[in-house]
Amino acid sequence: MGVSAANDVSVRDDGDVATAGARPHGTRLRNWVIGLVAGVVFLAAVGWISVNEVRANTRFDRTHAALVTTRFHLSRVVAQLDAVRRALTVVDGQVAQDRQALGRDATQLTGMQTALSTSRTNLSRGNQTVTDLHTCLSGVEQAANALSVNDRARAIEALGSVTASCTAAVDAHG
Amino acid sequence: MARRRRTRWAVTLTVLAAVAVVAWAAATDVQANARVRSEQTALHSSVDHLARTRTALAATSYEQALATNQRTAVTGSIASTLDQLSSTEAALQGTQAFAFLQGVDVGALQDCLHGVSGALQEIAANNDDQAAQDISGVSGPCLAVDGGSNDGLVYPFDFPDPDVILVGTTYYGYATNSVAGNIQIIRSTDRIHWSAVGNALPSLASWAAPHATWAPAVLQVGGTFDLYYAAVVAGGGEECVSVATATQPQGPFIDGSSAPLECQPTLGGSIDPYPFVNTDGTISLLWKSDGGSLPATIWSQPLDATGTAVAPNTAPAALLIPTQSWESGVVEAPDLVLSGGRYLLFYSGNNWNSANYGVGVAGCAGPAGPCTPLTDGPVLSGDSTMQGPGGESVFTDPSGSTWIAFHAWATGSVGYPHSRELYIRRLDLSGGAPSVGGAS
Repeated sequence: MGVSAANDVSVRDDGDVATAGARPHGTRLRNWVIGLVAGVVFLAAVGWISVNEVRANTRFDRTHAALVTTRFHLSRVVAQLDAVRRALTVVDGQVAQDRQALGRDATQLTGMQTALSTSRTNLSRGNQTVTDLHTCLSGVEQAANALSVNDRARAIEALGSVTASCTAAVDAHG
Repeated sequence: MARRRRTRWAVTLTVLAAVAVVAWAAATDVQANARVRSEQTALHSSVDHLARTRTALAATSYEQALATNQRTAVTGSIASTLDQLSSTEAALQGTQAFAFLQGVDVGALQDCLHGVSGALQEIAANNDDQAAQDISGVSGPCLAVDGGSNDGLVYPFDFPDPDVILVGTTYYGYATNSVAGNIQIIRSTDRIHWSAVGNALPSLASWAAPHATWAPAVLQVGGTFDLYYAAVVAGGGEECVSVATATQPQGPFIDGSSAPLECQPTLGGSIDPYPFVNTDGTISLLWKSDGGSLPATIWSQPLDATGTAVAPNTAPAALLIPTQSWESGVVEAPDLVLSGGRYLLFYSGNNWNSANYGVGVAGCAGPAGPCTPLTDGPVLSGDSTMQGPGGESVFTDPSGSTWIAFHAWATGSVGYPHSRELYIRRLDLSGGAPSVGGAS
């Protein structure tokens, strides 16, 4: 079935041919149906497109909001990162300064420990010298006491017992 | 026809309008979706950036924590190092201070040793006067070597059995023969700093042998000074007491005697003379017999007015014999003092050549006794700074304060031929029994 505009004749299902200007009822109905279908299709298309657009806009809004939030977080984290990096730079500088100070202190400590060790060594030698001098003095004094009572044997004995100490004391201090 | 044509146009326009609307809507939809994708892309990018930034932040925070920990550790190390530095510096300062004192000690020891060595050489060359000068010159350093005078040590050389008298404002000390000669003599104006004068008795009596002139004591009688001392009778005899005289306390004392003043050969000899002047001016000589048939005994006998001879028609009286365990059978070195109406006999007990030597005191009815110990033990014995004190001599300073001079061994140097050094400490006679105080 179809519409033939060339001869303006409407052909019915039963084969009757209507004259021009007098549209048959079936043709009009078919046109109305076609129009109605077209309208429905149109409306469906527009509706689907509209719904789709609304959804897209909704997604856009959500995505945009998330983007704004993310960028806000990002800016905060970047700020935190900058602050931490600045603090890290400061701490690194302090560590470097402290290490320099530690190095100086350690050097000073080493020098002082060396001086202390030297001083203690000298002190130990000095103590030995003092001991030697005491021993030597005691012997010489005993010898003098013995000699003053004409006890020459005891005087010689006293001197002989301190000879080593007297020699060591003289060697240590001239 | 026209109607149908209009209808067709209307339909066509309607269709075109619908197509346009649909196309516009589709284009708008496409744009919306494109914006969504673009926004999503931007969101993903931002999320990725945020994740990377957070990762960087975490890493940087971790680095900061590490750096902070490092700084804490370094700061701790600095504090520890500074503590070590401080303690090391303190130790170094202490060591240096000790080294300084040690240097002072070494200097004092060298000076003292130099003087004593010089004296030894002078003695060997029989030059007693120079020996005395050498000793006197190093009295200060030798006193420092022996720890100073805080414990009463005033003369750090051998000065046994001292006797101290005050003449005017000058103190004179006399002692048994030693470095400076037969009778040592030293003097002082402050009782603390003493210098050697020399040999108070350059020549002995004709009957006496050298090298054993002991325990001198000096008494001023008018313008004369009598020096009592013990000396060995030449030819292997016992020790006996003699007297020499001088016109000044520093001598020289001359002994022109042909025999001892007191002598008890059967009692082991007589030593440790001490002259006592009673309130009536009577002079008595106290001494000790050294043994023999009797125990060591302290005796007394009056002398004549000059103090150089025994009073006629008198005999020795025994004052004291050893009765106490600490004396170990020996009483000697008497020194009689009249104080507050009481006669106090100071004496030494035990072995002179030991750390057990000490000083006791007895109360006497008078110069001729009898005497009884006032205490169960010695009133002066060894302590942490000296050992075996004895040979005491009690004297009074111009202000009326009483002092006791004595010899003692340095702790750790007890026994001949070590030195018996001179100490002077305060003596309190106000109580029931005398007590010896400190150096000042």
